[in-house]
Amino acid sequence: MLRCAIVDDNRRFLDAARGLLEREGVAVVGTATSGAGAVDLVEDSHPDVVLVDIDLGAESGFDIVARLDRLSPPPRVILISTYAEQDYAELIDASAAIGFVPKTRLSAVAIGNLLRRATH
Amino acid sequence: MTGGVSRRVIVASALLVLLVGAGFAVLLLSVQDLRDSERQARQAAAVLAAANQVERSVVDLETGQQAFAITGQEQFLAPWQTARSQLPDRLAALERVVADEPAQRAGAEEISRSATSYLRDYSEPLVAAIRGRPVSTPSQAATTEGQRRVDAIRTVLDGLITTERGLSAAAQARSDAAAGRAVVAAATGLVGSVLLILGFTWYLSRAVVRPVLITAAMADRLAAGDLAVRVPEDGVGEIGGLERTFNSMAASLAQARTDLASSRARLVASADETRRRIERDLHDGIQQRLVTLALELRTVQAGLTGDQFDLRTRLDEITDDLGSTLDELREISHGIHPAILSDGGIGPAVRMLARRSAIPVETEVTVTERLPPAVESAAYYVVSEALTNAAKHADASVVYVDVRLLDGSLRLAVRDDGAGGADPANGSGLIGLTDRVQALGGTLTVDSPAGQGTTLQVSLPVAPEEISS
Repeated sequence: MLRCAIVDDNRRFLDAARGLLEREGVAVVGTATSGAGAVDLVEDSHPDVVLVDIDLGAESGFDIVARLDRLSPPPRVILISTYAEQDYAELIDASAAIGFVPKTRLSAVAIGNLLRRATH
Repeated sequence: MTGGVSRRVIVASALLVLLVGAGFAVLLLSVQDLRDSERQARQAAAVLAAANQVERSVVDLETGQQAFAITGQEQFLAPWQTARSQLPDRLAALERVVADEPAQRAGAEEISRSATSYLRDYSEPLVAAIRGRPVSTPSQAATTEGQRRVDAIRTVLDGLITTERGLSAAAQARSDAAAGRAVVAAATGLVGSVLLILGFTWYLSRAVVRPVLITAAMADRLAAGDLAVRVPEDGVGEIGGLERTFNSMAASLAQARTDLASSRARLVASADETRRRIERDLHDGIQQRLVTLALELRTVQAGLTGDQFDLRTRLDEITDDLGSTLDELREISHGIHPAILSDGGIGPAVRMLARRSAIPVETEVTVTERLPPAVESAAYYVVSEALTNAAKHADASVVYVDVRLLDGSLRLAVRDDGAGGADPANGSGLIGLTDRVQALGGTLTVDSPAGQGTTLQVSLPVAPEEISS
């Protein structure tokens, strides 16, 4: 089973995302609402993939991606957002994330597709 | 500095009047002197003429009576007769011309007395005596007596003539002196007036004309918008006042413009801040809740069993509707304020605009630094509006966007290959953009010749300390 962690500053979204992904067969090993929490979570749980919101209000998701990428081993990260992908395309490309999924299109299938593409 | 310009002008004019007046007064007096001298010369000529007439008459009497005495013939007595009849008139004429000269009057009277005495007491008795005897020679004694009397008369006449000549010479000397004074007065007056007028002109040009010209030139520059211009405040009196008034006017204009510019900048910044806040509220509030609802809906959907086909279809429709609603909301939110501008700065924001554009856009953005939010917003909206116009109105096939930092300014150029002929004053969002750019102290120019595309150029000043990497 795919093990996943979610980083977002909105509790209700975290709950809804966890509920949907677990219903679709993904194990959500933990959630975090800040960069520091994300680092702790990854170091403790070593998830297969971390979903990171682009805009956490106080923090930038890109900064969190950069922090996670400095861990050893670095986790695979997928950026999520309510913003359109094309708005952030070049920042997403420049980041260490393997891809982007709009929050409204979040699903086990979408995550699986990105992971397969990244592996190949 | 005592007194104003007008007081100095009055003093200078009074000096000029005094100088010219004094010159003319001396000239008038000299003319009067000259006329007196001329009258004296005429008087001398008249006295000399009258004296000569008297002398001729006396000589005619003497020679006539002698010729008569020698010949005894009446015909030789004709000159004597003539002289005898003329003498009283001539003596009267002599006394008349010297009537105004006390010094000469006594001499003239003496001549009159002795000439009359010569005629009555000597000449007439002698002629009568000669007529009394047939032929004789005058006695030696009588002849000597006549000569003595004539000499005496001549001596007095010579004295009178000499005195008159002396008077004439003295008058001539006074006349020369008066003429000399007139020349000196005229020369002094002329030179003095010329110097005073030159000095006056120089003073007026330095104290009035030059400062006024300088102030007028400065006023032109002020009118042209150069509010930093000031004039030197070293003018005299009223001119100095004018200069100080001009400078305080320029200063208050500059202050008013600065205040206005700050106020505009604050308004724009406040509007930007409001838009940013609305976008954040939408993103953190409604958008997040709708997204969450969509996910929860899909969770419910995933939990349905296989035989609830109708419900699944209905839920699919609702999920799709919700997705469309979210897309619409996202576009509205993006229009209010693009989050990428705050997150990534002008480079990513401009390239995002290029990706969203309906026509191909080639971007050249060399700015990687972060600039003040107001500058980034202005630059973003300029590019956004220009791309919209190029797609909507210009019928362009490609647009080139160039953004760079140069000489302390952010330079933007948006060029398309469309129809051109755009009029920035004609509606369009360009007017609002011009306001926004000017509020930041920048400039916006549109070059859009018909058939040759449109080029929009914007320059926004950025202080070095406002740039962060």
